[in-house]
Amino acid sequence: MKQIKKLYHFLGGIQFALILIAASALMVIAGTLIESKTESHLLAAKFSYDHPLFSLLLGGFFINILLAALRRWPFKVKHVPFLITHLGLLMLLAGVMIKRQFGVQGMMFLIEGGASQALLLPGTYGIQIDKSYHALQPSFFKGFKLENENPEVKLIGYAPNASEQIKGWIKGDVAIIKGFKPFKVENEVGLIRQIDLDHQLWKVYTGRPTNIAEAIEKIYLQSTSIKITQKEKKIYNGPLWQLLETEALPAKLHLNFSSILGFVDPFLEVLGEKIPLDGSKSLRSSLRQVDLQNSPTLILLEDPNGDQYFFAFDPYGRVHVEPFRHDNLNSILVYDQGHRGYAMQKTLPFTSLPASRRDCEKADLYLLTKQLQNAFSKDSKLVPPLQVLKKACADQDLAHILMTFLDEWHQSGAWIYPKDRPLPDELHKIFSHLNLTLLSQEEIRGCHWCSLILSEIEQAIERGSDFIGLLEKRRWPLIEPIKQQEHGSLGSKVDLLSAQIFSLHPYLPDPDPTENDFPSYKAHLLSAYLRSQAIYLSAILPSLDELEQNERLEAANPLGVHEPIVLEAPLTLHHRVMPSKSKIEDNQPLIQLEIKGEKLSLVYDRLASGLKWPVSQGRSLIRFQPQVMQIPYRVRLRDARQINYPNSSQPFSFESDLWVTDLRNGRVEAATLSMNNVYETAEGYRFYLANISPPQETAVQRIQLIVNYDPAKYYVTYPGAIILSIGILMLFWLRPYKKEIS
Amino acid sequence: MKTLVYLVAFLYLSLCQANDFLESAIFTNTSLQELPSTYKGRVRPLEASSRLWLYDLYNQQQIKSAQKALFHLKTGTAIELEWKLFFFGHQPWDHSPLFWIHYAELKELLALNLKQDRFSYHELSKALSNKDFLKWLMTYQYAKNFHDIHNRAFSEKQELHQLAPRLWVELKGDDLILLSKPNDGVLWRHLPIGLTIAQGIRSHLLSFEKKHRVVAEEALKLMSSLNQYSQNQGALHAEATVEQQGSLLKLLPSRYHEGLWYSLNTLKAKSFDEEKKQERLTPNFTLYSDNLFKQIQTEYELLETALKKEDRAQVFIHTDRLVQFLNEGYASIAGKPYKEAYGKTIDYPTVMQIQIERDYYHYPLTELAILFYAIALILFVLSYKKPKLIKLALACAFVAFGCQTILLVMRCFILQRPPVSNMFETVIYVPWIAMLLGFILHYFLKNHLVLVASSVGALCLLILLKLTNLNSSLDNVQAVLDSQYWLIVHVLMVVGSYGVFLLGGVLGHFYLISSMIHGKETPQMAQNAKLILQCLYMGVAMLIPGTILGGVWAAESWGRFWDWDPKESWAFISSCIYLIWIHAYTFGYIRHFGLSVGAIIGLLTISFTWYGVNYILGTGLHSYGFGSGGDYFYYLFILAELVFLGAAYRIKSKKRVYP
Repeated sequence: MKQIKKLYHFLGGIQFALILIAASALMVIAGTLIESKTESHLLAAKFSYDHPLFSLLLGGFFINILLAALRRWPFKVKHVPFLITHLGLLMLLAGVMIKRQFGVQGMMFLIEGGASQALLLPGTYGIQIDKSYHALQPSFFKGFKLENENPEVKLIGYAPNASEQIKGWIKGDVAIIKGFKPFKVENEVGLIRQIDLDHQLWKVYTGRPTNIAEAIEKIYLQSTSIKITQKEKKIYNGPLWQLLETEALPAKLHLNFSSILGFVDPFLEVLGEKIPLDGSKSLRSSLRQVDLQNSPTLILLEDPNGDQYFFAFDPYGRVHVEPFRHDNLNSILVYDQGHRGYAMQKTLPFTSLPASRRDCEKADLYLLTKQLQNAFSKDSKLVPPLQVLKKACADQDLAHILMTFLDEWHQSGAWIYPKDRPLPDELHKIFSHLNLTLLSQEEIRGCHWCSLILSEIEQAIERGSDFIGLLEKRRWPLIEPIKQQEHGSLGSKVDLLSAQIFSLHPYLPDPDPTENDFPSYKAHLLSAYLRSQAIYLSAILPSLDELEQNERLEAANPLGVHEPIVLEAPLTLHHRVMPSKSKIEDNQPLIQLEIKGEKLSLVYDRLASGLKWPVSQGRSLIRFQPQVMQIPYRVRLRDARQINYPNSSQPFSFESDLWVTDLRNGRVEAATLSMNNVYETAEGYRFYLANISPPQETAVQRIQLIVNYDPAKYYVTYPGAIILSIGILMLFWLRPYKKEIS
Repeated sequence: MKTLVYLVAFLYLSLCQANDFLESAIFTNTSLQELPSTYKGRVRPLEASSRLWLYDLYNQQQIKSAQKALFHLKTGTAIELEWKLFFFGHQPWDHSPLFWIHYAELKELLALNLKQDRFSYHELSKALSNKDFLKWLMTYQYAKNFHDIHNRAFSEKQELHQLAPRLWVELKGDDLILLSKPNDGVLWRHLPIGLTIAQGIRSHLLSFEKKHRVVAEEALKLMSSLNQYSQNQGALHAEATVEQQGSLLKLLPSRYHEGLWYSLNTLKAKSFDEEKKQERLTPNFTLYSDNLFKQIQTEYELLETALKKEDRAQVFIHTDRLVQFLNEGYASIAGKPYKEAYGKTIDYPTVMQIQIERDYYHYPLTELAILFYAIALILFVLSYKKPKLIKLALACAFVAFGCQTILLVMRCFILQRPPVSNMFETVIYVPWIAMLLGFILHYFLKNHLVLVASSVGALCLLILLKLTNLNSSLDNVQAVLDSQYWLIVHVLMVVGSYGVFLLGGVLGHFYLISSMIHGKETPQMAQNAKLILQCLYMGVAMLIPGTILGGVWAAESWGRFWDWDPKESWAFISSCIYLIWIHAYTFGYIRHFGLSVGAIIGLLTISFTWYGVNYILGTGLHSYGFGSGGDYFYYLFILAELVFLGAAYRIKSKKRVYP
C-alpha cells in the first residue's frame, strides 16, 4: 500500500513531470538533427515523433497532469490557474487525437477543367484492382502485409526502393515491331533479317552497343555506295567505305550523332563540299552531283542506361533517328482504355515517292517554274538578260524555258554555260532566235569579259590552282572585298568576282571580236550575264526551303500517293531494385504479387497518376497506390494561376477557382482558394490550396488541394488552446504575487 | 527663377571650370534620388534601387572611397555608377573590381587571388572558363537536379538548363559524363563531348550537393550577374526597342503591361507609323500623359546630345528637367492599384512612401542606434562613480531606442505590414522589444540595471546585424506570410518573446557575474533574480500561446495543426526548457542561481530556434528567413557560454555560500 501511494505521488509529482518534459525535449532535438542530416522528415518522424516511446511519453504527460490535479483534491481557489492550464493542455491533446481518429486528411489533384471527388490518403499503401481496393499495412519484416486475407491476391515479394522504366522497341533479348516476328538482340550490333514494309525490303539491325555513334557509322559506311559526277563525267563510283579508306578523293562522313539531340546536321564532305544527309536541303549540292545508294535500313539500339534509339536510312542515303528516352515518351497509344495494353508509335519521315537527288531537283524545278510563272504573269520589270530571253521566247512560256536552261547549265556543272555544249532541241530553237544586240554595247562587253576571265580561272582551278592566289597573281584590282569573304564558299566568291567584272565594263577594252552566232555560244554569253546578276540554279533554289523536302516532292507529284510507314511497339515495364535512399520519402517501394496464379511486380505510384496496367488477360487494371477515399463533394477546377510581383518570379498570390458540387443535393457553389484563404463547406470539409504547377500561365496547370475534416476543432482543440493560454497567464501573474503577499 | 539659377550656376561653373562639382551635384540631387523606379518587383526610389543593385554585385551600397579612383567616379554613389553604366555601357568598368566573392572556396576554384574580395569583369570572365570550375559546377547542378526531380525512372541523363540550354550530362556507371553542349556558349566551348566531369560520384551526390550548396549558389549568382552586366551596351551607343528592355534605370511605367517598367533609353525607340509609312519615335507607351511624355522624350534626347558633346552644364540642366518631369508623371499614378489578385491588390507607393524609403536608405539609423547605445553603456558604467551621469545615459539610451523605433516604423509605413518577416527585421525587432520592456520595468521598478541589460542585448544584436551584413533591403513579403492578422498575432508574439528572453538572459549573466564577484547574494542580486523570473514568466506567456496560435494559423491556412516542422519542434523544445526551470524554481529545486543559469541556457535554445533552425538545420517549411554562414561563430558563442556557466558554477561551489 505504501508502495502504491509512493508511486501515486511520484506519477503525479513534479519530478516525474520534469523527467517527462526533459525526455520529450531530447527526443524532439534528436528528431530535428536527423531531419537536418538526412533531409528526410519521414525518417526523423519514425525515430522521434512517431516512435512508440514518444507516444508513451505523451501518455505519461496525460497521467502526470491528471494525477497532479487529483493530488490537489479537494480543490481550493489557489488551484484554479493550475487546473485551467492543465485542462487546456488535456483538451488540446484530446482534440489532436480525435482529429487523427475520426477526421479526414487527404490530398486531391486536379487539372484545369478536370473534376474529382476522390481523396488520396498520403502515406497509405494499397492495390487498386478495377474498383476494388486491397489495403496494405506496413510490416516490419516483410515490408507490407495484406490487411484482409484474399485467396486471389497474394503478396510474394518486396523491395524498399525500385526504379521503373518503360520499354518500347527492345525488351531484354528481343526487339518487337508489331506485326513481325520478334528480332533477336545481342550486345553486338548485327543484321537480323529483312522485312517487307510497303513493298520494299528493309534490313533490320539490332544491338546493345556501348558506343552508339560508332556502331551507327559503321553500318552506314558498310551499306552505302556513292557515285560522284563532275561536269557530266563520272569521277567515282563504288562503296562509300572504300572511298573513305583509299582516300582516292578527299571525303569524310560527319554523322554528328548525339544521344540527346539525334543527328545534328549530318553531312558527307566530298572534295570540300558538304552534302547534307537530312533536312530540307538533303543531298543537295551545287558544284558536282553526288548520288548515294543504300538499301533501306531500320536499326534498333539500346544504350547501357536503357534508352532506346530508332534509326532509319532511306534508299538514297538520308539518315534519321529518334531517341526514345524512357522518361520522355512523345506520345502513347492506349488500347481499350488500357485493358489491351499500351503502345508507342513511330512514323518514318521518308516519303514513299521516288526521292533521289534528281527526283528532288526535278520537283524543285517544277515548283520554281510555277512560282516564276506567277511572278512573270504580273507586269513586272525584268532584268535585261531576261527581257532578251523573253523576246526570243515569243509565245513560249518564259518561266519554263528559263528554268530548263538553268537546269541544263546546272547539269553541265560549269560556272558559265559551256560554249561547246549542245543545247536540247527546245532550247536550241529559242536560243537561235535570241538577239543579243538588244543589249547595250557595254553590257555585251561585260558578258564577254565575264566569260573570258571566269572560264580561264575555272580551268586553272580544275588544274589545282588556288582562287585567291590566282587573282593575286593576275593583280586583280578589286581583290580586297573577295579576300574579306574569308569563310564564304567558292560559289559566293565567284558571284562577287563576276559582279565586279560586269560592273567594270565601262573601263574594259573591247574583247577580241570572236563573233559567233551559234545558239550555244549565245547561251554561253547570256549565262555569263545571268551569273553576274547571281541568277543560277543553286542560288535561287533556297527560296523553296520553307517547305520540307517531302512536301516539295508531294507538291510536284500530284498523282503520286505518299503512304507513310507507321511502326508500333507495345510498352512494357522494367523494374530495377535500387538501394534505399536516406531520404525515405523519395523511395518507391516495389511489391511482387500473385493474382490468380499470374505473377507481376508493381512500383508505388505516389500520386496515383500513372498508367494502370492490365492483369488477368486484360480483364482487370491494376495500380499500386495510396488509399483512396470518396468525399460527398465533387470539385472541379476552372482556373488556377500564380500571380507574381511585377518584373520578378516571386509569387504575390496563388489562386484557383473551383466549383464545388454537393453530391447529396446537387447544389453547386463557386469558390476561390488562395494562400491564407480556405473554402469550408457547411459540414466542415475544408479545402486548402497547397501547390500549383507549372508556374507559367501558358501551360495547363495542375493543383494539389489538401482536404480535411476535423470534427473536434471548434469544440475541443481551439477552446483548449485558449484555455491553456489564459491558464498560463493566470499561473504566472496571479500566484507569485500571492506567494509574496503570504 | 529656375532659369536664373541655372544661368548663375552655369556662369559660375564655366568661370571656375569646376566641372567636378557640377557632376557631383547631379547625383546628390534629392529629386533624382527620389525618382520612382523598379527593382526586384517593387517600385522604389532610385536611391534604393541603385544601392540594392550595387549591393548585389559589390556587397556595399556605395563604392569604397579607396576604390573610387578605380571606378573613375566622382561621388562613388551607387546612383552615379548605375547612371554612367547605363549611358556609357560596361566597357569602361571592365577592369574595375565590381564583383564581390565571399567564399574563399570559390576564389580557389576560379584560381583567383584569395586575399582579394572584389574582382573585375575582365578577370572573372577569364576565370569562369576554368575547366575544373565548370566541372564542379556541372556536378553540383546535376546533384541538385537529381534530388529535386521526382523521376520515377531515375533518368541518368539530364539537361542542366539552369547553366545553359542543350547542356546534357549523364551518369554513366559511377562517373558523370558530358553528353552535349550549347552551340554558342563561350564558356562551354572548350569542353569536349564525352568529358568525364566527375569520377565515382554516384553515391556522393547528396553529400556533394549539401557540401557545396552555398558556394555553388554564389557561383551561379555571380555568373548571372556577369551576364547581365555584359549586356549593358550603353544607351549612347545602342539602339533601343520597346520589346528589349534594359536592366538599368527602369524609370518608365508601361501603359500596356501592368507593373512592367522600361529602361530610360526606350524613349528613343523607333517604331513604324502605318499612316505615314515611315519610322518615327514611338508614341506614348507610358502611363503618363501624352504631353508630359513628349517633354520627357525631348529632354532625354537633349540629354543624350549633351552627353555626347560632353557639355556638362547642359547635361546638368537636362538631367534636372528630365527628373522633374518624371517625378511629375509619377505623382499622377502614385497610390493607385496596378495589380489585382483575389482579395488584394498591389498599389504604387505614394510619393511620401517613396520619399521615406529614400530617407531609409540615406540615413544610417542602425549605425546611429549602435553609437548611442554604446555611449549610453559607457555613461552607465561611469555613473557608478558619478551618479549625475545617469540622466545623460538614460537620454542616450532613449535616443538609440528612438532611432530603432523610427527604423521599424519606417519599414512598417513603407511596406504596410508588421516588421517581422525576415531575419533582418527580427534582429531589429527583438532588441527593440527588450528595450521596450527595459524601459517599462525601469519606469515601475526604478532599477537601472534592467536598462543596462537591455542596452547590452540591443547593442550586441545590432553590432551582429552590421557585422553579418544581413539583407536590409525593403522587399516584397512572401505570398505565404501575406496575412496581416496572423502575422501580427503569431509572429509578433513569438518573436517578441525572444526579446523578453534576451533581457532575461542578459540579466542572468549579470547575476552570475556578480555572484562570481561578491561570492554571496546581495540585495541587488535578489532584485535582479526577481527581474529574471518576471522575464521568464512573460516570455513563456508569449512563447507558448504564440506557438499554439501559430498552430491554429497553420490549421486554418494549410490544414494541419502541428507537423513537427523544425521551427515548430524547436519552439516546443525551448518551451520545454523554460518550463523545466520554472517548474523547478516553483517547487524549490533551484534558487536564484539556478534560475540565472536557466535563463542563459534558455537563451541558448532560443538562439538556436531563431538562428540555428534557419542557418544550421536549413530545412522545413518556415523558410522565409533561410540563409547560411556564421555557424562556426555560433558554435564558438555556445561554447563560450557553456564555459562561462561552468566557471560560475565552480566558483559558487568553491565558496559554498549558497544552499
